[in-house]
Amino acid sequence: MADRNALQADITKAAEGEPSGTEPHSRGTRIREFISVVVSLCGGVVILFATQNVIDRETAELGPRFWPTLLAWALIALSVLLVTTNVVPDRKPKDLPDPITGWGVSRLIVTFTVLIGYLASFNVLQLWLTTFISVVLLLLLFGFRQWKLLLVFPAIIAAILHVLFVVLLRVPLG
Amino acid sequence: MTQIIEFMSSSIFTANAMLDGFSVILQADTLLYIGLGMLIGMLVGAFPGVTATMAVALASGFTLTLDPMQGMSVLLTIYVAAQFGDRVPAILINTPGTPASISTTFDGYPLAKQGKAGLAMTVSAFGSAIGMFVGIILLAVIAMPLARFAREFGPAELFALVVFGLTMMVGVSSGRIIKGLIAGCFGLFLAAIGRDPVSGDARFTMDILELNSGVPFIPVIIGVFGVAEVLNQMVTHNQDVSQRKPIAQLGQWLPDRKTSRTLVKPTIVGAATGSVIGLVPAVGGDISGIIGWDNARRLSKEKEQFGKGSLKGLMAGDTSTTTTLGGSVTTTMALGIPGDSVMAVLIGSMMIWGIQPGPGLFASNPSMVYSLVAILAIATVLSLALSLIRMKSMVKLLELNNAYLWIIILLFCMVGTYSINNSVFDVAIMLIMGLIGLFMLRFGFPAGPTVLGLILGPLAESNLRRTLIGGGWEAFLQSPIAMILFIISAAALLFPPLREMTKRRKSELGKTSQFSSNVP
Repeated sequence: MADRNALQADITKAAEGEPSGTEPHSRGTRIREFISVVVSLCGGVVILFATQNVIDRETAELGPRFWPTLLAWALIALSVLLVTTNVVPDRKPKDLPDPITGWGVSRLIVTFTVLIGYLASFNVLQLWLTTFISVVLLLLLFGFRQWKLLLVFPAIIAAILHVLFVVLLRVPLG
Repeated sequence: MTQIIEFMSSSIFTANAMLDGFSVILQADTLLYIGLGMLIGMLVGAFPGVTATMAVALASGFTLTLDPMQGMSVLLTIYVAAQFGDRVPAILINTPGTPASISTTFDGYPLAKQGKAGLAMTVSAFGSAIGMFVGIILLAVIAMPLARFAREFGPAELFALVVFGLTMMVGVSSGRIIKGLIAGCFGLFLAAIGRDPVSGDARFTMDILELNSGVPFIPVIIGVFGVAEVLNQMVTHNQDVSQRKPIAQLGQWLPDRKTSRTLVKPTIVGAATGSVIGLVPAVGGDISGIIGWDNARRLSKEKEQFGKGSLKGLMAGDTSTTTTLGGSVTTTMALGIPGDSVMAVLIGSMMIWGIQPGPGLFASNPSMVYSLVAILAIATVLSLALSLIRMKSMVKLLELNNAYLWIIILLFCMVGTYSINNSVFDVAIMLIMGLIGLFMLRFGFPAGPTVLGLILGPLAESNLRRTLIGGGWEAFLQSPIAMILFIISAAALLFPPLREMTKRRKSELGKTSQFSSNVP
């Protein structure tokens, strides 16, 4: 809600000719912008080095290395430009996302583990069974403890996925 | 005489194409798929956090096995219905169901707080339907001539068109243009993985067999639009935060005659704004809605009412948002440049069906434009009807815990992605792209340009190389169309920061003069 009120205020400000995003950087936002620069710069450099390994059988100027090299240099140039637009000026970006919570991060890690387990069980167990187990685990992870819910919701999801993908679309899963 | 014969033969040809195109919706299975798409779209729209792009990306996983026209019916109807469903949470809980309904929250929620939620939802539904029909007319009238014009394009113009599409998508990411360009370059790089389109040499495949045919784009799209969004909601979720309670008192539903008359002007303003913005590739309904709302505010005598519960503001924003859709479909089909991120996903699906959107599409399949018109029209009528009868049940739906949605989306993403090629590798790519997409979301890199880069990469690379081999860099200078497209692209990138800089300078000068006038 705060975001949209801010957006509405931004539109009104813009209509009245006022600049937006004039707050100074905090330490966190500057680090955030710095990480963005480092990642894109590293990406550009890695692509540039990886391009050297591309076998270029053609002697012509525009072989298979031409396009990736162009992109790598573009990434490097844009990263440098990002320093001048987002890191050096003392202005906080306008598009800051909601803050990360400890609860959320722990859930993300465990959820990802469950999903990798789910993927590993493709073609090993029946889809309905592995779906049922995964949904129960995820429900427990998100704090649901009612036994009726732990039976009914996973059963519905498992049935829908089984009917849609295995029965109707004939996907070879379990 | 010759002219009359030519005119008559082209009229007969058009009439045939129209009949062929419209006959699609007379098939029972197509209607069934439109119904399925509508239900999915309405639900998607009603759940905050599930965007139309995410839903279309997810649905593309299981529509690939369908006949192309049936698959397109599902995907397009999801898109249309989501434009109606997303107004409900925007009005009742002040949370846009999809980004396209951001402008709905400006006046919709204040109206709901005044006990006029029913009225707001009805006006919003009619505004959305009117906008849709204006967009559909735009598609029917402009698509063919635009495609005919673009058919004359050579490699230089086609490369310029790709640059234009990418920069327009980046240019509207206000305040993060450089990050948008970086995201676009990343997408173009992903498209370079696999076999070189000219020589066939392997590039960046790391001896992984599956990468020889390139990075599969549907898993990438599902990863960055579907998985990343869920993961982001998960990491920002707080266990203690209770769900926001929707406003349950809907009040009056239909506007009286006097109120209806006052809505004509904002509807025209919204439709005009959406028509223009819709034809700019890569600019979506979210931006159009905000601009339409702001245009109506500027032209209104009751400016101060906007944002505090104005039906005019609501009508203008919603009409503008949905009008854009017709323009988006037009540029996507006629030019091959996605009108917005949903269209980028649709292009991905079409390519797998063996349909290449672009100037040649309507020449090889002239009835298609009318099939699309028919599908969109039916989807709009059905969505409007459903919007007017399902409101109370939607209120209950909004009380559902987000965690159920996360589980459903993640599992559908995984099984849907697997079903495309029966490949675990594709699912792994999707999960990796989900994590990369999460990084992009957290660090302010827009995902749209990455997907656009991935889809348009081969077109960009092959046309650039062909142009350079054929005539060198001068070939671009010799093409007026390419130069115009480059100039517009440069303006789209440079204008927003220059305007911001000017405003900042003016504001600083104002402060300085205020300070000096205060000094005795």
